[in-house]
This record gives sequence, structure tokens and C-alpha cells, in this order.
Amino acid sequence: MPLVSVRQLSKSYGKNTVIDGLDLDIEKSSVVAVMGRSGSGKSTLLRCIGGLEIFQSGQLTCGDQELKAHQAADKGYFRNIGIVFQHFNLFPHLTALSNVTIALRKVQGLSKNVVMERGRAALETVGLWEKADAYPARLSGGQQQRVAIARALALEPKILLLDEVTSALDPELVEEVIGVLRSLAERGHTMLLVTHDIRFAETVADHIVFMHKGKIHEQGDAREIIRQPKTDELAQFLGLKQN
Amino acid sequence: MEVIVRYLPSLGISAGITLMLFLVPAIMGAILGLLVAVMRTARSVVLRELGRMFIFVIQGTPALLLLFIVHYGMATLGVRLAPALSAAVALSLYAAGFLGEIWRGAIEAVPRPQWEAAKSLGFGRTQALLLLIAPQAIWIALPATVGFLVSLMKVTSLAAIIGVVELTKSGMVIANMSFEPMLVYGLIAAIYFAMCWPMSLLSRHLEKAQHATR
Repeated sequence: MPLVSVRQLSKSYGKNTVIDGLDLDIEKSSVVAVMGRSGSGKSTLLRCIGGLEIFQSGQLTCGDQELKAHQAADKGYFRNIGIVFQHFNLFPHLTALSNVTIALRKVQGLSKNVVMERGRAALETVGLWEKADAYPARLSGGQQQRVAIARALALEPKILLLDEVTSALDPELVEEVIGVLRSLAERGHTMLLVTHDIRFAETVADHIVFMHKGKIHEQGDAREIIRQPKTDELAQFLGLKQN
Repeated sequence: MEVIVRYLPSLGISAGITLMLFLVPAIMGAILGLLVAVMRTARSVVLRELGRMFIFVIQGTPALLLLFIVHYGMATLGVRLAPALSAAVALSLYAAGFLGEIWRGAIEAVPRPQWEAAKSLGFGRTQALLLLIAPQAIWIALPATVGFLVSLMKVTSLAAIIGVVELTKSGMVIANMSFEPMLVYGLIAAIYFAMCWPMSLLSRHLEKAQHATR
């Protein structure tokens, strides 16, 4: 049984349909990259799965939680999910450690010892324990994104959702984040990442979903699909074929 | 100089009254203003509209008129308040109307993705507002809040019109008795300045301290 199951999902903004009757399964311990041009609906799909958008039809399940059309996600739903945003969205008034642990303390109500243990483990996983007391503004973009990953990891979610997490970073900082995500993949974390960076998707993901006009246009094994796209749209997106 | 020495004790007492006329509305206005700011940013349309109406009415009414309404208007309805209490109530409402709007603006100035990050971590709206958004909004609101508080200190002088013998009223009496208006009013201006200046200094100090930790 897949960890995440999306069935006939549709999402519109006014008359503009962004996702159109989409089906998707994400297996446990898999890393799925969703790719597509701007406006293809890939970020909206991630936001729907992440409980940040209310969709008009269809349903999705994530672990033991179900989300139906017109239904807002509740605390229980968010327990299964960790989201990492393109622009990190760290809380600027909190240190790296507090950013990582605040939800454990205030939402999950865990004891101080458990909070510290999980906060430390999460920051060590992303190699930033020595920056625990630093405020976000004192960290580089790559470090901020790693703290954001640690913040999501500390919740021990069933799936990590990563929305264009390398897009706001300089090329040399992208490697830091890729390194962290590869090690997470090796440890069996389930991840859904949205990106338009082909190399990033190929390096981290084992399955690629290509979206076009709100639908899944093509999907398959990450390395195969990039080398041998079946549709013209994906070939054009990969730069293998002229428009 | 002799005039200053002779009237300094009574000026000190009226400066104390002015300080109370400032502190009580500042505190009560802050509490009410916070409530108004929360109403203005609430999901409920009814709460948002009630908050908007309150701000609209208070900001559209001169402070002096608020004093008259609370002191003389309420008296016609059978609620007779002492002049100082009327002034405290009217200035509290006045402060709430302005602080509420300043803080509403500050809350809304915190970038939208911060709310989303809080939501994705499982925070409810109120918890996110109190723990994650308000601490950021405070720094955004600080300069405008201090600016308003400095002006509130000066607005307390309007209380003289409903019979409160605060600093300005006291100065008028002393100036009339001593025939030294320049000296007396100059001294009173200096006392107002001495009460307002520490607020500006504190604001600057807090802003610097905040920048230093980031």
C-alpha cells in the first residue's frame, strides 16, 4: 500500500484549473521528483499534499490520514508531513535550535529532554549542530536550508515535501543541500521534491513525475526517463528537442 | 529663578498626574489595542468588521471630543465620572484605536510564508500569532508605537479642558500668578521633553539590541 495516495485531485484558482484530475502514488522510502515548466501545477500539487491548499475535488491519503475535497488539514494531518520551502521560511527571531524544536515543544508538547535530543539529532543529521545558537540571518543560504530540513525532520514525519529547495541557492550551496538529501534517501526517508533542476532530480530522486498542464504527462525511473523521454513535451523540457 | 523654586513642588505633583494620565491609557490602550489588532486580522468577517469600525470611529474623532463625550456625554446618561477618570477612559480608547491599527499593520507586514511555515509545523492560528508572528511584528511596530506614545504624552494636556489639573493646566495657573509665562511655559516644555525623551532613547536602544542579536 502506498504511503501517499492521490486520487482524481483537481485544484483551481477561480476559472484557472491548475491540477486536473491527477492520480499519484508514493511508496514508502521512495524519493519522487515532480518536474515541469512554470505553471504546470507541480508546486500546487506539493502544497495540496502538504495540506496548505484546499482542493475542489478528489481525495488524498497520507499514512493514516485522509484529506477530502474542500477540507482543511488539521494537526493530525500535519504530523505525517514535513515541508521544506524554497525560501526556507525560518523564524528570524529564533535560533537554529529553537527553529528546529519549537513545534516539538509547543505543538507536540514533548518533554524538554526529548525535545533537546531530537533537536540535536536533526541538526547533526544536516551537519549544523555547531550552529545551534546562531540566528538565521547569521547563516548562509545553504545552511538556512539545512536548518529548514532539520526543522522538518525533527517532527519525524512520514514524508518530507521539498518545494524548489535549491532554487534560491547559489550553485556552490546547492551541493550542501544535495548531500544532505542523498544521505536522507540512503537512510530510507520518503521524499517528494518539486524542482525544475534536472541534475538535482536525477541525483536525488529514484522516480520522476513530469507534469504538464495540471496532469501527469509522463513518469518513470529517474535515470531512464531523463535519458529516454517518451513524450515531446518532456524531451523539450530536458532540452533534447527544439520547441 | 525664584518662581521656579517656589512652584516646583506643585509642578512636580501635576507632572505626576500627567504621567498617570499617560501610563493608564498607554497600558489600557495597549491591552484593548492588542485585542483590536487580533480582531482586525481574524478569520471571522464579523470580528474584522467590528475591529475596523472601532478604529474608524476612534481615529475619525478628535481626542478632545472623546474627552467631552466620556465626561459630559456619559453624565447625561447618569454615569458621572471624576475628570481624571474620564480623561483616563477617553485617552485609553484613543490609544486603543491608534495602537490597534499600528499593530494590525505590523502583524500583516510579517511575510505570509511565515504563517505557512507555522501551519506546516502544526501550529493553530492563535498559537502561531502569539508565538511566531507577534514576536516579529513587535520589532516592525516599535518605531510607530513609540512615536504614538510620545504624542499620547502630549495629548494628555487636553485633560485640562475638563478640569484635570495636569502639567499644562498647572503651568497656566502659575504663569498667571507669576507673570512669567515664558519662564513657566519653557520649564513645562522641558518637563514634557524629559518625560518623552527616555521613550525615544529606549526605542533606539531596543532596536540596536535587536539588530545585534541577529
